[in-house]
Amino acid sequence: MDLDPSVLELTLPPRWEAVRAVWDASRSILERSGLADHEAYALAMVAQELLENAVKYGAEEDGITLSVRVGPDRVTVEVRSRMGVDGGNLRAFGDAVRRIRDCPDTFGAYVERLQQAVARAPGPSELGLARIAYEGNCALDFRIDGGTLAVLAVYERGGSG
Amino acid sequence: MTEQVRRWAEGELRLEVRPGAGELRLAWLGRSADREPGRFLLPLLGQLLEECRAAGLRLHLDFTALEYMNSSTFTPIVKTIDGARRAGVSIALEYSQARKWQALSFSALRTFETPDGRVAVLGR
Repeated sequence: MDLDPSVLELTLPPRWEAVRAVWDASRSILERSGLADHEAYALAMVAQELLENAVKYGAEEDGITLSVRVGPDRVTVEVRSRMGVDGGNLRAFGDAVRRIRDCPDTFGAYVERLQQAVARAPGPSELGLARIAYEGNCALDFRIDGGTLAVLAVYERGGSG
Repeated sequence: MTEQVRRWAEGELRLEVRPGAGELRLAWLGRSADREPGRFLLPLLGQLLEECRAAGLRLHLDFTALEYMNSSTFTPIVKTIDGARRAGVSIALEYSQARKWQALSFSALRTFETPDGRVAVLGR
């Protein structure tokens, strides 16, 4: 079986330790694919943030799939998980992704979430998503397929990042 | 004279406090990637803020050697900045400009700086 060296696909148990365990694997494939060190670091961070969200808010009993695909023009980090959120939360999540996706000022969006964090009680926030857009320089999107939520972060190679 | 160093560890994160000239310096080492980092960090940072307030010291948070932190870690940090401001304690956050993730994330924290220097974010 030939393994594509520019694709990483892993299915993980929905546990916190599993998130940490993929750091080295995701960073390694990104570095091997010719990305600069800071780009590989940033995209490994993106994968960690998406996985953390999936563990926190996905279904507790089902696996999470991480895929990192490195192409000549872009890198796509995708995390798929069974939805553990109800309809209201899912709508709120979709709204959060859209707000950040459609905001042209990723720095401003990130600062705004940091300032909101001062008074925020523990629970869901948009800080991780805003960090992906700003620090990871990624465009966010999501898809719902049956009971599965896929969250995508797309990094354009050779862009401003 | 033996330097008085206090150490804590939680997961992959290690914290070391050293007294300095007019300040307490808290070095962040390793990785901060807990699910709820505030459960460990907020009581500790609150305790250090109180020590600084009582002794008239600045709290200096040194992140330059930190390898990684997740977004959940920023919440206890910005809450501590706010707590310092409310308590009248000077606080400085020092980051590494050589680590691009720190340069990006901490430049955003510069929006918390105050004109009087009581809240300072310093790139080294």
